[in-house]
Formats: sequence, C-alpha cells, structure tokens
Amino acid sequence: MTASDIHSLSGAYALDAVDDLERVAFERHLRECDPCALEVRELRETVTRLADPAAVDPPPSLRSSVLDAVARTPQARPGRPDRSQSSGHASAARWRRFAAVAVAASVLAAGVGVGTWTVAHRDATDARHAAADAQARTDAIGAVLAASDVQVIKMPGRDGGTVNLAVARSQNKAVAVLTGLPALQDDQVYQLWMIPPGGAAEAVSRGVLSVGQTADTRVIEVGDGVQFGVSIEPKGGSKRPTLTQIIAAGEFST
Amino acid sequence: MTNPGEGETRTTDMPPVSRGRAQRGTPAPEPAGSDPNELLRRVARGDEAAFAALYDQLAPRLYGLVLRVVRDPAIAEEVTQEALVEAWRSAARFDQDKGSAVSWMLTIAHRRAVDRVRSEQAASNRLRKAATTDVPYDDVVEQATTRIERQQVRRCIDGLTGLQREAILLAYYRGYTYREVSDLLETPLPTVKTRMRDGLIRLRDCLGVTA
Repeated sequence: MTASDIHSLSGAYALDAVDDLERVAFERHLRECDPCALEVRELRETVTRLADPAAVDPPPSLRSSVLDAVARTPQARPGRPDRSQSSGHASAARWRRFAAVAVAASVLAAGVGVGTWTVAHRDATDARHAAADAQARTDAIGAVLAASDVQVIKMPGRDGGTVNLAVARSQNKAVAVLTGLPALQDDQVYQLWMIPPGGAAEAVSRGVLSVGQTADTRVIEVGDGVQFGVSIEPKGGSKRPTLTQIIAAGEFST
Repeated sequence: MTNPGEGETRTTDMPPVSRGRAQRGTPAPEPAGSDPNELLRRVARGDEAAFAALYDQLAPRLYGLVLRVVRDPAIAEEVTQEALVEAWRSAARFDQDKGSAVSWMLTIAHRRAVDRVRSEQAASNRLRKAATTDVPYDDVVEQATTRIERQQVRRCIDGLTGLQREAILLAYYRGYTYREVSDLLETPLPTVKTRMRDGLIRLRDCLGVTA
C-alpha cells in the first residue's frame, strides 16, 4: 500500500469501515504521521456526534446487569510495569501494544471464540491456565502485527469467507486469520500452506484445521515462502496441496 | 423493542413523531462534576460510582448505536454490555490525548457491534443478503435524517453530497466496510474511500469539531 493510499483511509478508519488487518496497518502508519493522527482524532470526534441522533434508551434491566458484571470484573493494569508511564515513548508503546492486542483479541474472539475478556469470567483455576495460554498467543500475534515490516495480504475465499495474512519477514512469522469459511464434508479439512518460489510442488504445510473447523487464527513460520494458500484436503491433511482445491492464495514480497 | 417514530416517518422535514420519546433518547446536558473524561479517569482507579454515572450519561448513545448496527434488541443489549464491561476493564488505557472519553467508549461499542455483524456471516453472504432482501441504504439515510433532533448535526448531514452521506451512514450505522459500501453503491473503491474522508471533513468543519 502506498503512502497516499493509506492516507486516504483515514475516513474509513474513523468509521470502522476497515477490516482488522487494515486497521493494524493504518494504526502503524498513524504512529509515524503526526498530522494523520490529528486528522483521525478530529474525524473520530466527528463520527462520535453521529451517535447522538441514534440514541435510544436501553431496557432498564441493562443497567443493573452491567453494574453487576462490572463488580465481578477485575481491571487491566495500565501498560507494563517496566516502562516509564510518563514518557511519550512509553505512552506510544502502550497504545501500540493496546491496539495490537485489542485487534488480536478481537480476531481471536471472532475466529475461535477465545477472547481475552471471556477469560475473566471463568473459574479462578481455569482462568490462570487459560489466561496464560491466551496471553502467550496474544503476545505472539501482537509481536507480528507490531513489526515494522508487516505486510497484510487479503484473500477472499473462493467459496466465501476470508483469509487474511499478516507477514513479518523480519521475525520469520506470520499471522493467518481464517474467518467464515464454508463448512466442509465430514471427511475434509482446511489446510494451510507456505509456498516457496519453486511453486506449489514445494509447498510446505503450516497446519491442518480440525474436522468441522471453519475459522482459525494462528501464528505460522514464513520460511522461504513467497505465497500463502489454503486448500481443502482429506481429513488429517495432505503432503502437498490439491491444486484444484485451493480456496485462497496470495503473494507477498520478499 | 419498538420505537414510535422510528422507521415510519420518511420525510426529512417532518418534526419527530413523538417528542417525548425523542427527548428521553437525547443525551442529557452534562452537569458540573460529571465530565465524562474525569469520570473515566476515576473509573480507571476502580470507582464503580463513577462508572454508574458514565453509564447514565452514555448508555442511550451506546445502546442506540449498537442497535442500529446489529438491529436485534437482544443482541444489542448483549453487545452493549460486553462493550461497557470492556471499557471498565481497560479504563486504565484511556488516554485523553488520543481522544475524548465519549469517543473512546463509542469506539469500543461500535467495533464490538461491527465485529458481531461481520463475524456472523462471510462478507459476501451479507452482501448477497443485502441485495436480495432489499434493505437498502435509503432507509438508513432517511431514518437517520428524520431522527436527528440536534438541528446542527442534521443541518450538517444535509450539507453533504448524496454519495458522502450514503457512504458515511452505511458504514457507521450498518457496519459495512468501505469495500462493501463500494459494492452496494456500485462506486469505485477509491471514490468511496475519498468520499468517506472528505464527507467527514465537511461534517467536522460544519460541526466545529476540534481535537
């Protein structure tokens, strides 16, 4: 995406009319572009005014229900303790991390139903393990999304759904987000592939979804891949992608 | 939930059908000591009373906005609650340098609503459904303009070009991405992006919004 392309996204961004990965790319741009940050702040405040005419009183029961939930919900700590809270840099870093984590969390929630916020409602014992897992995953995703060389590739699924890939070559990592893919037969699954310059004959598997699974978010290795693809394969996966069954593919730069 | 006056009135110049209803939905003037920015800072320190006060100020806007996007009152209630609990959890991350408390909370609610409608169906399915069930954008645009009680917002929306208005309201009130708006309006992608931006800039100037 060129600089002028990304500038022109400010309106769509302020309206939340971008997808998660575009949002991350745009927020990365914002951190390097002060005039853009000011413009977005103003456009967001403007958009906020559009909620005024939409106002409707919620059912009265919502109030006590929200206040009860709040009374049971622990609050997140600001930033990390090892960073100075007062410096501008730390504040920017906190926002960067918040943005990345928020996106990762929403991607996770949308993809596989494991949002970080659901963790707060579980049993204390469960929560520790679940939180550690979710946190490790969120950190890994956040690290890729926050990389300075991240590239975002969007691949509409052949039969519906979307496959998005954020590639951070500097980290040899990518985040693949599969959403809303059509359900398959009981003996078929989706499989992820990294494809090197030699083409699909040298494709390397980057994971197989379970039977019935139509959405996923995972961190994968890039290796010498220059293309990413998703195919439909027999249950358990294949050694090489079935070429007629590739439902999404996209290239990224080296 | 049925709202008298919503959906039936189609003429921009009509006064609100039920003024009492409209007034209740309109954000109350904010008395001294209840500045949302200050309240949210107190919430960040665990102040539940401040959160309740914020709720009272913002709930109609949060719920109304979410309801517009998700369209189902039960889902709207659920999403509004999730958004409010998320705001409580992450209040310590609110930074007024990045925007006002009202904007921060509405952004959380809007994103959650949008996530909900976008995750329910693949984008292509939503578009197909939109095309076949014929719930067109005119509807949104007209509802929005008839229900605008605040003269200024209304006047400013009226001051947009047709395409600016449709692009902005479809995105904000329906949760469409700019790609989907481009398909719905059969308008090239770069044009839609540009109209969203220059439309919002025009609204900003008309409303006198400053950051």
